Amino acid sequence: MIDALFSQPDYVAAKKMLDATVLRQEAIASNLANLETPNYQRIDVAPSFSNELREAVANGDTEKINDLQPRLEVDANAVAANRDGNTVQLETELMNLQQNFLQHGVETNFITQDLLRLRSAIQGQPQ
Amino acid sequence: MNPLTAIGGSLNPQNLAMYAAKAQSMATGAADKVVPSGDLGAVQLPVDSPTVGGTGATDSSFASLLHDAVQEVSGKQAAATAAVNGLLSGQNVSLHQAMIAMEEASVSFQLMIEVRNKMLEGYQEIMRMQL
Amino acid sequence: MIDFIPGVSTTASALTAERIRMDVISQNIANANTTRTPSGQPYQRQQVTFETVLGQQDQADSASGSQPRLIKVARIQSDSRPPRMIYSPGHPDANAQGMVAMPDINTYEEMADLITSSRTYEANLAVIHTGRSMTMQTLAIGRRS
Repeated sequence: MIDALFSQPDYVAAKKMLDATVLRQEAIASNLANLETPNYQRIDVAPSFSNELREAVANGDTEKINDLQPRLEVDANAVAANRDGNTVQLETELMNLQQNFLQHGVETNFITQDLLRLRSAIQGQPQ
Repeated sequence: MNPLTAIGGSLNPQNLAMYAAKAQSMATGAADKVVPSGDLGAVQLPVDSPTVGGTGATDSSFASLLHDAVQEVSGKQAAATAAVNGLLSGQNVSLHQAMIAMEEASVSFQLMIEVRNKMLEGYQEIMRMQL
Repeated sequence: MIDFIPGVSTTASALTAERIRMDVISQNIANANTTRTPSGQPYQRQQVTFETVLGQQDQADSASGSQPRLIKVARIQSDSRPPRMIYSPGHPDANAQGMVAMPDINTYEEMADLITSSRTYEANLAVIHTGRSMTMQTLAIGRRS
């Protein structure tokens, strides 16, 4: 009974996306830290994660959503703009930073609203 | 239709009193077997009355449902404590995982409290009825 | 130390590395005309190289996808550029042919490096700032407004 409260696919997917967003923040931090390091290849969350997550949400498969784990991997599409082989672009990375922050806000907001909705339903009063 | 029969088969005030006592004893963590007399005052109930079988199971399904729910709630509390401990001891728990675990445990606990309150209200309502 | 802000140790190492680089650049600029150092030679330009190394793993790391920490370190090395020889016979450090060995430091090049370095420094500060805001948002999960 209790576990069913927290087994909605949307809610579980939001939690997984939050995991990925926090992981992405670490990747962006690493990329910007190594902006000047020669031959550094930029890293990011593996794109397969978002594809698999989208599929699992479309199927409503909560167990599959739960089993997904975001990973960091080297970005295969990044090209080196400098002579020193560094594939990090400052402007792109700063934009990703802002985007990631907003995505984090959306996900935490969604989770908060879900939990508050549950509390309202339990208590019969708006929270 | 009598709303009382909708809950669990052939409920009558005696059975409901027994169910409520059993549920209350679970909520307070007491043993599974309910002492039918004593805390119910003058009402003497047999433990295994033939009319209990109105729920259709060998064990009363509503009570076992509650029992499982209470186990799940304590499981959620344990998970939240483990997450916070993991976070504080530097293990691989992120802050958001710990926060969410704590919130889920809190919501679960709140649900249990409300269920218990409603059951007690129902029981008291029944006991107030003039027969 | 608990990592509340994601990636904070990597960013902190980058800030340290960039600051070291700025120190070295300003030292180069200050000594662009130094013909005699305590060793007797003209000042040799110092150069900073960056390297990404794996940081120490926390001992309790489980196999649930934690990433190794990449720490950026700066290594200070002497540049191998030979000194410029300038003809200046009246100079106290001139040799027998009247040539003075000056450090081969191009001030404009150093200034360009300084600007790049401070740009990276600011970018990493932005990462810390954003990371802190993210953590505050995380702490507000479930909060009734």
